[in-house]
Amino acid sequence: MSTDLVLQTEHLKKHFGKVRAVEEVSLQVRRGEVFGFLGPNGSGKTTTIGMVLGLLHPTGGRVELFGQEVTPGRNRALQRVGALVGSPALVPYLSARENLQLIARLHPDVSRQRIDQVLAIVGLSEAADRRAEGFSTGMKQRLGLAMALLHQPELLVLDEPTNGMDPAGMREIRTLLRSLAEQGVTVFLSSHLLHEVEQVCDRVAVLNKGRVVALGSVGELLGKQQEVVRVRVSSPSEAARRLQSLPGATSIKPNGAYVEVAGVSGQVVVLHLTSGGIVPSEVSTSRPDLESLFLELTQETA
Amino acid sequence: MFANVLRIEWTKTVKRKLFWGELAALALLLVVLEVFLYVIYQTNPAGSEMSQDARTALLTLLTWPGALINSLALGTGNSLGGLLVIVLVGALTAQEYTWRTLHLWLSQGTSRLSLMAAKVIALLPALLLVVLTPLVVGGLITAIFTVQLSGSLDVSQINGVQLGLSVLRTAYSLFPYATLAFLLAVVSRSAVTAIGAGLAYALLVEGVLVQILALASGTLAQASQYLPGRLASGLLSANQGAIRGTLVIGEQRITPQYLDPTTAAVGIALYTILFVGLAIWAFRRQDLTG
Repeated sequence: MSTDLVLQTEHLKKHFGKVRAVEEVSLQVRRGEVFGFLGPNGSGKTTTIGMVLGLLHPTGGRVELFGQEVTPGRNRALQRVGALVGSPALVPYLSARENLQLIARLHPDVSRQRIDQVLAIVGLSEAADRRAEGFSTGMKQRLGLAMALLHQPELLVLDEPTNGMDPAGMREIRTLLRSLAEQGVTVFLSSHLLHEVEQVCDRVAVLNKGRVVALGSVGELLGKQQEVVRVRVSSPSEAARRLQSLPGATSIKPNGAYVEVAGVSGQVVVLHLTSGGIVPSEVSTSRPDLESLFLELTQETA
Repeated sequence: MFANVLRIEWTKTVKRKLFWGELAALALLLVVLEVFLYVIYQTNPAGSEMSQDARTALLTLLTWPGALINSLALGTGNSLGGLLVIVLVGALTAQEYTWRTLHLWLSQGTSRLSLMAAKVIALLPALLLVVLTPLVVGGLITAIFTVQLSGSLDVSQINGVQLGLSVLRTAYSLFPYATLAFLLAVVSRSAVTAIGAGLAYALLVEGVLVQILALASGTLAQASQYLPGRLASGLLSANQGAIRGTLVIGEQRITPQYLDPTTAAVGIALYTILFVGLAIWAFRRQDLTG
């Protein structure tokens, strides 16, 4: 395995009895990138992360972190990883600072100043000495993130890190993740928030029914998507019939008072319609985004 | 690394209100019991309805050195100490599944074996405190009673080495109950199940088994001696050199027969190894989800 690869999974599988939670996941995450891990609920994202973190025994395949195989019985490489998976794991009767002090004992290099520093990074300095059980969901999430960042890990594994946060908090986290990536930290980000992934991630993998159905940079994946031209006409069915003869049009869908056409430019569509005596009253084009790609991929394989 | 995991486990225990609440309850109960016995003794002077034998027995329970050793009785495995330990260990262990802090320690690169070993070892000082609390509280209150009832407190009557050994034996008698609760918590991942099943065993199942086996004959009848509570009694017989009390079945009076302290100690060790071994075996195979 190349030293540039921080995380690698090969043919990873996890079955719970008859339930095939993860069927085939092969990924490579490179040093310093922000890698997005997308998928609908139940697609196997958290199960995959559980195997990466040595919490679940894979049914098949293998996980490597920094070139070392990770299993539930062999997890030393995880000392270089910071993780926040699902709702944060906290000792509720301890304060935020005491929770961080517990984690710090596992990492002798962590100083007291570092604890204050991460509390400040996640905006919990003022609540540092309050018990975690009294925290809101967003504050718990921030503390979980502070715990993941505490020992300055080389790889951050985050599952829905902005869960329960307000929009300002979500933006702070996105900025933080980008800044960490610039400092060379690799981020593996699982999220339902597609615009969050689109804004932050260099590459993404889309998981559906336990299998990777798309993998590549956001630009590459969106580049495969075609621009959609939307025209408003008095008779959408007549316009759709007319457009059937347009060379290059890959998809023609009447949609209410509109017709949506893919595969050709807006200019060509307008020209083709007007030459047939149909004059559109409105023309717009929609740029493909991760959300439409995600829906297309997960519905195709559903 | 292991020492750090151990420190984490101990910190979690001493920061837990439940732990101090149990010790406070143990101390309070002991104070109430001792004061109750003192009141009975004082309201039944010599020549009253109470026999002289009963007064002598009461005086032994209220004054040193007998009272000091008797203070330990509340912290033993087969008394309140065992029950408190089941509640404490069940809660400490199983709630980590609910809070997902087990996941947290493991995802930081802590090995499953060292995490389990640290959890078991961190219980030892907690068990010792369960034993020392009644000794200290009972010791202090009966020291006052001794001065009041005997006029002086003769500390030279206390054999420090024997007292220390008695404390260790009493703490050791808690091992099967602590490790049973630990095993139940790991297997069930539920504090309610672990505590419920543990208490059911200690309060009900073992007593019923003893009664059933006592009705049998031969080897089967002897088997009851190897149950954790009876092993604890066998071990603790060394604290005072003799066991008082009898089991009554029907019209027969049966003097309880316990194993000698050394055999009882070996039996307790085997239970401890079995329960901890099974817990580690189960934990290493567990998938930690949720």
